[in-house]
Amino acid sequence: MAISEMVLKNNELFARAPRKHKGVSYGKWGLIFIIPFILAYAIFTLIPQVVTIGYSFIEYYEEGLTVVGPNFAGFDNYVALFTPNANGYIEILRFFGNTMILWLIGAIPQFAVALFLSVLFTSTRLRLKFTGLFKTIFYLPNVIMASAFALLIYQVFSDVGPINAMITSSGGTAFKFLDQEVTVRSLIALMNYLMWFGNTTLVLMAGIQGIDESVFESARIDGANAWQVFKDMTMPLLKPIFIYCLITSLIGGLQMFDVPQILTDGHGTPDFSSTTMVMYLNMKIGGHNYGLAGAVSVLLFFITGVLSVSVFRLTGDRNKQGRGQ
Amino acid sequence: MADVKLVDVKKVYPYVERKAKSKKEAQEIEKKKTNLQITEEGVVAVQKFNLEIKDGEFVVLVGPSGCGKSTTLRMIAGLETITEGELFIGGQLVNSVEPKDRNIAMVFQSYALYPHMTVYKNMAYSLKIRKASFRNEKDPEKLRLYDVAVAALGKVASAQSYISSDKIEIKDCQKIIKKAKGNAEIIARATSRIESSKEDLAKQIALLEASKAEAKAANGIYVEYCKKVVLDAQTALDNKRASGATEEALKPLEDALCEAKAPAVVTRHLTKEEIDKKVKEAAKILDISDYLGRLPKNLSGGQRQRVAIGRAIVRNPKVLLMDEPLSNLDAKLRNQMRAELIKLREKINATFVYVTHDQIEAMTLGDRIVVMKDGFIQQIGTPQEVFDHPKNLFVSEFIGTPQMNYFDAKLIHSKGKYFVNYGTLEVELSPDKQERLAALKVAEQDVTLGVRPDHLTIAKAPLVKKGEAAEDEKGCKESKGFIVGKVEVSELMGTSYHLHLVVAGRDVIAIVPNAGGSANYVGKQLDFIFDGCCAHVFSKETGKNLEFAD
Amino acid sequence: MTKVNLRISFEMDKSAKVKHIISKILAYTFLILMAALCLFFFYILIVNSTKDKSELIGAYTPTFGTSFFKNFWNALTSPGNSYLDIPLGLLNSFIVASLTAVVTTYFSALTAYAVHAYDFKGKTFVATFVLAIMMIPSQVTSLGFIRIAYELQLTNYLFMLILPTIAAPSVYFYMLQYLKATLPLDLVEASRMDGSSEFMTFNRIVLPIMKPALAVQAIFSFVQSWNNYYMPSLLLKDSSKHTLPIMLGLLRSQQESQADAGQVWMVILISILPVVLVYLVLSKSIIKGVTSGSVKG
Repeated sequence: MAISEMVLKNNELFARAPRKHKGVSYGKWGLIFIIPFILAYAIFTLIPQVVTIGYSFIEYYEEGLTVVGPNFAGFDNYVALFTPNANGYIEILRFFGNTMILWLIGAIPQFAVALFLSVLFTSTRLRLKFTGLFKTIFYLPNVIMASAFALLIYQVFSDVGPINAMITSSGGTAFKFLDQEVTVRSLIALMNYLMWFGNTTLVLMAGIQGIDESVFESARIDGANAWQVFKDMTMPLLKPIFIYCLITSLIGGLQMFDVPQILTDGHGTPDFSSTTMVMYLNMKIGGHNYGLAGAVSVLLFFITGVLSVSVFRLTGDRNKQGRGQ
Repeated sequence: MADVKLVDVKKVYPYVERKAKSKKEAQEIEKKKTNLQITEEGVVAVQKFNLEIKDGEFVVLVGPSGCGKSTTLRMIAGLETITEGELFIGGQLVNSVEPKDRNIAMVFQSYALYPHMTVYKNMAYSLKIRKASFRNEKDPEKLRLYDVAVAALGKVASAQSYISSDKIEIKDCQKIIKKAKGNAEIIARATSRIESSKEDLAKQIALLEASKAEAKAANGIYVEYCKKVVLDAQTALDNKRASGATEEALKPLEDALCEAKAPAVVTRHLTKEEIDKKVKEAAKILDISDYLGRLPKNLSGGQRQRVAIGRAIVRNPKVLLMDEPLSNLDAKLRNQMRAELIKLREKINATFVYVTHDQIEAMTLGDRIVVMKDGFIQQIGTPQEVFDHPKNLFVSEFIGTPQMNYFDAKLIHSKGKYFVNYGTLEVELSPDKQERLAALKVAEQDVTLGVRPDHLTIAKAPLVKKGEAAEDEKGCKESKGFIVGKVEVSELMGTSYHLHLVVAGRDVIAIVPNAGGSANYVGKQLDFIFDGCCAHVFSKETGKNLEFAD
Repeated sequence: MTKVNLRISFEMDKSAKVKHIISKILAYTFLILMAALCLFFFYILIVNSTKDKSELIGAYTPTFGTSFFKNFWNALTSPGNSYLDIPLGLLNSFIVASLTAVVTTYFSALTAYAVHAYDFKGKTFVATFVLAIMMIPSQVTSLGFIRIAYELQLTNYLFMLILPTIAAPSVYFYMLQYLKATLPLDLVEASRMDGSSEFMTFNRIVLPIMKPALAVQAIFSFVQSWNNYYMPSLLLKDSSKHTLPIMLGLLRSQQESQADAGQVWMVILISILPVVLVYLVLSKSIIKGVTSGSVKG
């Protein structure tokens, strides 16, 4: 028998069981400190969420001056959401498509350029100067008010704006930038690109700097050229962060509102080609059609919820990966 | 200063069985495994710890990592809850008392200095936010009555804690009965515990009533006395004034009235000057007066450690707790600080409880040391006692550098005396060991024989000068009654040599004095003997020292 | 993270050197072009806001005009836009943004500290839950929020925009990461021994240590709140409570019948200038904040 156990046996010959007293515990303070957060969340997010879901099952809208509802309507709103409208298309699908297209047109250059810039800035071979200045300039659009930016672009590209002024003064005919689907979408994508490519560059840079420098050095000694280093070393190791950026950008893209709203004054001209999901939601709320608005919100919730959970899983995996390395 | 008493203190952490989800996790779990006992309540980090530390004593808790010494210290501090058992500081039960009210201070292993405050502010912080009690010595009688009233209140609090403790016990036993599922033995034991708790509960309730009455009475006496004193002073003043005395003459009586109105003990915040004085005093003791304006990040490790100690002593705590304070310092600094700690002890009046894994620190600093392993106390004693009479194998190998040597030997009882037999060597044990072994009627058996390196002496002195023929080699071949070993490595330690030998396949170290001349022992076969007073016999099964009962 | 800069210097022959210089030139060219693209529109903005409305019709001249202060004054007193009180918009935006910054950073720090330093029942649930919902946008609950505010007659109150920011999962997460890296728990224990109450410990010991994180998040949440359009537009119908983005939306709506184009450029400039100035002054810490927040784990 081990020494320890023998000592224990002897001590157990004591007549009474030892006393138990309440000790000093600090755990309750943790609970107290999170109360504001929990309360605020419950009041301002949880309850509204329940109410929103509730509205999606209710018929409640205005027809002219009369208010219809609130009446329980089951899944009617969802059905209506996916029913083609007077012009023959299903609005929610169209606007979801718009949102995705608008996001994609901006995201592709955004990520390509950000990837390129992040490699450029962290390249020890090139050792560029003034990187701090460039970073400051590239990140600047991110802090610009999106609505102001959109109004600015509107002014610049309007029929009487400077761009058209330059065109007419050099002999061309004024081009209605804001009436053509392609140009409107391109302008929106341009703004999204400008506002976010700096941020993505910085995040990817941080990711690259997190990779051990010696990985690149040994690849170069092995004879890899710049492109091979990028393809075989940087990209694979950067993949988790890249995917994380992609998904967060997508979630942000789904929320697109300020830019297209201000640019097209809420109309999504021409022909609702630039109306996004949230603009649609805004229209319904503004038009007092709460039932449909609820349905749209619930749909958005599911899509972003799924994406949010995948981000959560991703960051968890990255944590474990980091420790393993 | 205050005494610290731990009665049956036990600490159990709830144990969560983690199923390894991958090979990596299984390896991690394996890495973290300890030798602590796991019961149905959980992992027992500290087993029934009993210790009484006297006022002003310096006690060191020492042991390898994971033995429970830091946990015990943190329980004394109040940073860990005590699962079972009672802790008394200055005679007061403090299980439920917050650390700040226990009149203790702690020096953390990592120093835990506030990084955004200067050294001065770090030390002044605790003084700034607390209130201190100032005793009004001018009226001893009032003070005495005040103390009596406070003591009575203490009895009330104590009775209340015991009442809640009994209630907890009863509740726990009821839970056990519910979970016992008809197991008669468990139910019987639990019921008997409930019975005894209920008995005690009744006693404590009666005690509570009595204490409450006593407290009320004591408080009444105190209040009456205060009123009387004020009244007397007031009448004296009024009389004097009525008799038409001058303002000057009245002054002392007015002062007397003010004093009479003053309570026995004032609890208030310290003034800036008082704080300043205390901080500067503590800084002087620790020799950090020059750094008071610096931030911790601009200090060296040793300086930070002094600031950590300074922060602890600035409050004149009754008990000073130190959690491995020297382990983050380099060797030279550590030796320096050890000496400083000994000097510090003379300068401040406090009871020290010190935790370390370094047995040298324990031996040099402690009045008494407590050796721990896997949550159990192995031995409590003065450094000399623990060194000379280790109670078990673990203590003997943990204490003392270099480590004790061990041999597989036999304990023989012949002609009424005890002998230790190792190979050809037979040593009669010293008289005091004879007594102890005889008293316990220890039988003959195989034992682990322990002899410290300092106690192995060379039988013949083979001071071989380089080039000379080795006379001992011949001699060794025919030696009988010795431990024979070949010297593999010889370390010169100034006044002595540490010889590393191989004896019967085991590594043995012997310390022999440097008798001058350059003796070269390496490669030589030497004979060693040891005295009967230095042989420790440990049971081969249990590792216990056979001279001592449990 | 230290970058071990092993400079492998190899003998470059002439053609390699030329290639190196060419790649550097190309790189700089690209960077300059990109920078120009970023700044192009703002250049136009600044130039046009210095021009009188008469100068804005007709040919475009990229030179500065002289009507900066006239436009500035008009924008502020807006004789042409009798219902756009720009100074009031500035004030409202400023109130909401600065209070949001304070509220969000303080309570996120408090919540992160609670999770970092204490063990309580349900802690893991709370922590994982907050992480999971971190990215769900506020628009999905906007309908419910607006309807409740309407029914309780709490629309048109600025505090209804500020109070919800007490619960800001992404800010909380940033604070938690920061605490995990910089606050050892024995600091909290030491302050308990010193006699500090838990709340005092948070305010006097923990918050000062968190200053860099607080600063970064204060800036981010200020900017985000300043630029916020959707929620305020739904909530604040009373024109005396309008924030700047709402006013810009209104400005856009009445563009066709617009009187003074110079004012419009100026209003845009006024709306974005405060944040741009703050950004330019603090750009270093802002950029550091972006990169540190993204390296999670």
